[in-house]
Amino acid sequence: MDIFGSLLGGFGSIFGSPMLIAAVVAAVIAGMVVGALPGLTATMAMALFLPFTFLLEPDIGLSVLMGIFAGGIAGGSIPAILLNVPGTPASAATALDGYAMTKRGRAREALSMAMFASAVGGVVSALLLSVLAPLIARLALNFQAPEFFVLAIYGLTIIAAVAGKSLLKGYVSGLFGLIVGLVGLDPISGQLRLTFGETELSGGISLIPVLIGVFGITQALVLIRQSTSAGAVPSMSGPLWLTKTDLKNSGTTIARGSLIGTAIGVIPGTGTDIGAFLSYSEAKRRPKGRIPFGKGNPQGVAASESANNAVVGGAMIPMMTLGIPGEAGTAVLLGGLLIHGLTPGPQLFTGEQSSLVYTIFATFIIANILILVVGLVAARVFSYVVRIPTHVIVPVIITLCLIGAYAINNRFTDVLIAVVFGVLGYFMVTHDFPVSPVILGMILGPMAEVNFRRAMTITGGDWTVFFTRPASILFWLLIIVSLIYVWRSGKKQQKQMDTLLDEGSTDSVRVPRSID
Amino acid sequence: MAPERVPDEDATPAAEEPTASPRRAVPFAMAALLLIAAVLILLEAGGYRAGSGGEPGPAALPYLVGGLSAVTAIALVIQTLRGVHLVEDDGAGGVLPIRVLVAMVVLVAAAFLFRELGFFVVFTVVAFAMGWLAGARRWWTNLIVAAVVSWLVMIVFGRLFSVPLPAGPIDVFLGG
Repeated sequence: MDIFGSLLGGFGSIFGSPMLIAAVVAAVIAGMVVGALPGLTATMAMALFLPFTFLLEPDIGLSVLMGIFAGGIAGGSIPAILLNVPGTPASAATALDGYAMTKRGRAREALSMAMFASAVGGVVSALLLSVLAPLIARLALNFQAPEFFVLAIYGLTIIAAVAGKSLLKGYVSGLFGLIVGLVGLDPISGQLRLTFGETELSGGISLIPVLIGVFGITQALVLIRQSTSAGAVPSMSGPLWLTKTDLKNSGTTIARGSLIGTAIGVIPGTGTDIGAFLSYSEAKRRPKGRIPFGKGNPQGVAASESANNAVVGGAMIPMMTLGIPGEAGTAVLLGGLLIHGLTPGPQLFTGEQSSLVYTIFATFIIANILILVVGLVAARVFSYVVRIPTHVIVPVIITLCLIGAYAINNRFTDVLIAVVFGVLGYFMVTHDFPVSPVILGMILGPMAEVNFRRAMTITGGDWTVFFTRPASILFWLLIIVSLIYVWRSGKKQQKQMDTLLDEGSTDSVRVPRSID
Repeated sequence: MAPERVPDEDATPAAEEPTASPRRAVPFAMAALLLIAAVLILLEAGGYRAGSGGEPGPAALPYLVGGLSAVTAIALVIQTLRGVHLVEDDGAGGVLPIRVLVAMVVLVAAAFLFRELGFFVVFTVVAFAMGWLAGARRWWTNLIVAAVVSWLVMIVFGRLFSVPLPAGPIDVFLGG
């Protein structure tokens, strides 16, 4: 099979470059450190490091982003287990049993289980990504403008619908993104739009400063508002590795969590937290072991962590093959591809750049294995990381945000854009307006417009083209089915999450306000 | 002297005792922003050139987005007036605590002064201010951290990655 040959080539590229290996190791550690800091997400870590990756070779830069993504999600489990404060929303379910294990003196086992499950979930999803993405891309090569228009509409509809607590607030955020995406030179007619005579705006508002603003600066402002100082270093007790019984009992849970996570990730608009809670509730329905769920059952940690890392691989499938980012992390990754001149979509899997794609896949597999190694070796170090005070974290985040926004194009305007969107993002986040739809609107709006107008040009203005081609019809049906499903299951899932958080642990889990 | 802060545990919104006053100002402001944007878009799109050969032209999406924005803004106002999906005041200093407001002012000022004053001075001041606003207790350690972080970033980006940073006399002196 050429897929496996290409994947082997990807591994070859990594092991043939010590620089690349070192970069991935450093990225996984950096991702885990940021993920371990309560309130800081993997998405924010990626946004912070995005400018660095721009200054590196594409293979190294994109591998770094993959390492940070995987490490950041896994790192979120550390404060969830040690402090009952999930580092990322993805690890909220982990805290239910993880913290209970810590209280029973099994903190190290809980961390080991989290790292093991994260690694397995990530590797399974990476393998599925490596096999499925090229097949989907091959199919998508037959798609033309009408299909891509309907796909973009699918992304816009579904993402705004599921991105927050309020449907309307999701649409408000999405519309802000669409408006920002309109600014600048119209790609088809050359008409300047919404520049109001400012030459700086004629090239449009760049995605990267906006990403840095809404994910980095916003988070720093939220941290300033919440400002906490360092507390005591949590105790690390218990044996390092898991018992055979725990491993045996958790095998099925991890396998199921990996598949659930990957499947959830493929659906645009979902996310790591939904995958983790769904896997947790499935595991809870089929309990194993003597300890009940919510009281320190290692299966609870395994279910949540295997799924949330698996979501990452799943979410990369529509992003890489169709250019549809399913959630915030993949939107940042898409930004990373764009700044290296790579346009996500089926063409990514053809020509010279396809080898780079398989290097990225191979990196993702290695990054997930490294999670286990780093997590086990440096568990004690991370117990100190979780207590780094806010007044140290905030200046570092802000400095990297400002220099990052500037370094992409060496434009002072980009620094101002990052600040403006950081301030806007702060007001949005503190009032339950999700920020991800802003980014997704910026990406998907122009995609929808360009393909719509191309299709209309080709057909001489015949609207029926969007409803007569087989793939288009399939996508419209998918939109209808997904909207009904999401609308009905959204409330159910929210209720499930609330119930789990309320009853799952004797201490309620404190989920810090974070940006996604 | 550090700015007034809330204590550790109470600082996390989830841990705080919510008061009964839902916040309406920001949803109203968002609706106003969206409505203003809608009006500007609809007014400007009228002057765009027309499409040709069945292609709807550059005004099509702006018209759609402008119209949707206006409708959504009105819906948001109605939702806010009805008190649906409002965020309760969590007691962490209201919508905009003074230290966040100061942080925003510092950031905007930095964005404008970056070019004029050079990298090192502006970034050191920004990092110092952010540390202080986030609760740093000792000003001199905060200043040292701010200066070291700024210098490291200047060397990494300016020297290693060859990013042309705006340089004042201090930047030149420090090797930037």
